[in-house]
Amino acid sequence: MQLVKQHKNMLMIGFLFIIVVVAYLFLWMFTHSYDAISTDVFVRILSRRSIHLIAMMVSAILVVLSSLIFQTMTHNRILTPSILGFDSIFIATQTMIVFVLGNTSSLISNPFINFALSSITMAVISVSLYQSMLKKFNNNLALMLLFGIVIATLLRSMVSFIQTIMNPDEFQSVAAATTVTITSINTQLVIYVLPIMLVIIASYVYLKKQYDVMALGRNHAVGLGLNYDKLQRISLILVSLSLAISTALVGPLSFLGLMAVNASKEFTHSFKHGLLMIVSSMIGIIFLIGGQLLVEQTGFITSVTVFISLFGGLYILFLILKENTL
Amino acid sequence: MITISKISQAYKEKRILKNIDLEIQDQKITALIGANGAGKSTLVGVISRLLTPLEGEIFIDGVDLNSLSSSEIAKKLSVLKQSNPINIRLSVYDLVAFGRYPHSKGFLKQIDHNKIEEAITYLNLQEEKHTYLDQLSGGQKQRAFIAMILAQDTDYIFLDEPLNNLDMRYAVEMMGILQRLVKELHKTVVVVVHDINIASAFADHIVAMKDGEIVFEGPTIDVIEKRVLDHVFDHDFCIECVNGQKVCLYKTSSESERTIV
Repeated sequence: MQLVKQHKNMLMIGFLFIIVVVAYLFLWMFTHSYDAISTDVFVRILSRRSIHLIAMMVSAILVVLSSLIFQTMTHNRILTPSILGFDSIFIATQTMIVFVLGNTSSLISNPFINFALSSITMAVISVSLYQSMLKKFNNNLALMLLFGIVIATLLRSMVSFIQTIMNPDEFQSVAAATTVTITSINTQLVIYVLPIMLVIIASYVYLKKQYDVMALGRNHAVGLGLNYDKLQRISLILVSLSLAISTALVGPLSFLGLMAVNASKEFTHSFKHGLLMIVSSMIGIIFLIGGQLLVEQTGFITSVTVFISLFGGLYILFLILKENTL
Repeated sequence: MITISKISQAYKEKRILKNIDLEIQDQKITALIGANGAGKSTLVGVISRLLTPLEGEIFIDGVDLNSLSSSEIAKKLSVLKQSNPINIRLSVYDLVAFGRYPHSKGFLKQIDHNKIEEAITYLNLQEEKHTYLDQLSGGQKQRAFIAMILAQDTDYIFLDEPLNNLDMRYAVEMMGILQRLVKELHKTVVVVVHDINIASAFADHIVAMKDGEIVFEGPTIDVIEKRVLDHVFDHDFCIECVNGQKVCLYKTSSESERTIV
């Protein structure tokens, strides 16, 4: 009975996934009135949209998988790096880079160098922060939450202070770098970064059985011969890198990870990371691309993050109230 | 045989284990007893490499544990720590299947499924096979964990207070299972127990610890002695023999008052 329902859920998710992808590629043809569109233009628009689609899909997968693995590492269903202040780390990094180097510096204006600089800085900061957190707090949920809130508030105050004393031009470039801007993704950049992202995703998939064991907790996992501490170190680096890269590419996607991971756990009722990875990635993509479609259809009145937070927040509330457990 | 040689362990400044030397005898139930904080759980943690010892070596069948990879060790030695909160929803079968991880790396073959079924049958959990852990009673849950350990198919089994939170019936049932593991499957079981009477009734061999040291070790009949236990627990015991089995009785406060008077 439950199995049938699960299969139905899975089918529905797969179906939605295909609809969203196809809609993103072709819907613009019907909603924007082009008089006579030449094949040349058509192909150009389509290939541009395909690259955006790939960038969004891969970023969504990275964000979602890193949230899933972070939850496995911390043994709970609430915390994601975003909740522990990762978005604030991103904004603070961007602000500091612009503030220190100035917005005319070649390090800022060259998209490749800027990308490398901000993702490496973020990865280093988050690895060191989360490493000490995992070591000191022993997976104590309350302590970790407190830590996250304090970090987020601290960085936000610092950012708002620096932004006040910045000149307007610099402020503009920070603002541009810290909002989700899928339409202005540098397609060149996507092509260069894609292999790195795929390697990270492949590593997650390769480690899936080890994550199943890790979810049992340290005692059981070590007893079963898992090299727990090593896996934790590797995962922390993978998580930090995924978030740093995807955030530097498309901007902070705050709620996406939390929502997609929890939804997939509800839908599948499974503990197997292989299945969870597939389902949560698809849900993440549906939300991100669906949100982007909405943004386009409504004439860019707002950003994707707003849609994700709006629907994602409501959905999470619904889940918590319905299940009454975490 | 597991040989422990000069093991020391400390948390910050506090020394928990001081130069422990111990040989664990094959195909016996060895009970580790001692007051709270004597270092019993730490010793089990060190042997099962949940903790890294500060000094000392552990040999398993003559091979240094440090020279083995963690998955090789997991094929020789299994461990169940006290209180194992698992916050994912698992059925009994799923849990027992995890016991095969050291052998299968998560890709279960037919032989693994057979071992899982065997372990479930051995612990009489066939009916609960597809029940979720959170729907089981304390005794059933503990049996499911033992089934997992059994599926792991190791010669040596370490259990850290497996009787915690079990009432008398389930505690006795659990010890009976351990005795069968030794007798029928030729396992070597080391178990940390708080209840001396349980140790007295079911263990073949007792290791008594105090302040991070082994203060006494020997066959059960020799350890359940007033002289030994008084020293180990700093308590005035009263030991009687009932039906050929030694039992320790509590001194109630009114009695100790009477002795003072």
